[in-house]
Amino acid sequence: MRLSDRQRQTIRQATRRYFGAESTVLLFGSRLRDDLRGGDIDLYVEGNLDAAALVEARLRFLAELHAASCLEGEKIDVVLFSPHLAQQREIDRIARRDGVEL
Amino acid sequence: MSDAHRLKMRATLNECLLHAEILQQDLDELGDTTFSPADLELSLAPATVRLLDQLAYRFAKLQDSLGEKMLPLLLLVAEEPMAPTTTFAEKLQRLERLGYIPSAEQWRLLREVRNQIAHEYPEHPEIKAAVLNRLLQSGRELLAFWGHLLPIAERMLAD
Repeated sequence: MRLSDRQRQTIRQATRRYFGAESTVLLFGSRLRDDLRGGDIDLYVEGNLDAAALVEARLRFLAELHAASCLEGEKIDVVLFSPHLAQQREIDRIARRDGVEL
Repeated sequence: MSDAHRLKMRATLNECLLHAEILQQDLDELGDTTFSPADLELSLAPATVRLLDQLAYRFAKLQDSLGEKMLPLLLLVAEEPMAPTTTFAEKLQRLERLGYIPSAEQWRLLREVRNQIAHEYPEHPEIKAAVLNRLLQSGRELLAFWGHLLPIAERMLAD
């Protein structure tokens, strides 16, 4: 995994702050591969919130991460899931299958 | 203010005025529309899609023009001493303290809304609807932000 301890901790703390104490965050995509360089940070966040609250939480979460010096200049993409959403999609299956919890 | 800064500020102001005017028209046309997941599972009317595309484009352009041009110009003209290592977050705090922007925090959220327009993964219909509704709310917030900044920039140009 190509994330520093500090980056992982910053992401974990912000996830709990904005998506709730029971929320989880997985890293998936190219940053899991040590043989590659660069690439976006793809996160899959699951929180027990309705869709509007999830979208609001994602904005605040990303604003905090982008302001953190350890994540400066990183492109971060966040896929959201919640038990309130009606159905699972392909991206949910992929992220859950391949993702690593931070 | 130097002539070069005055020219740049006038050009940026005109650019922002155009984006803001079209954004306002788009929001007026949408009125109090809110989108539901069902709206997005069926396809939206082509006219609505065109309107939303235009709104997203003007929102992004106004955000970019303000963030990349107008805010740095305001700091330059105000002759605020800044170390070369000053981060954008520190510049925002300075702009807020000077009263040039209503809120640094709100600006950061509007920036994230702008980034969200380019989100790369497919979203759930519920999330898509919430993102669209947040974009409409953010459009009104960005116009209010611009409404706060415009008289300040105009005053600087008149001095």
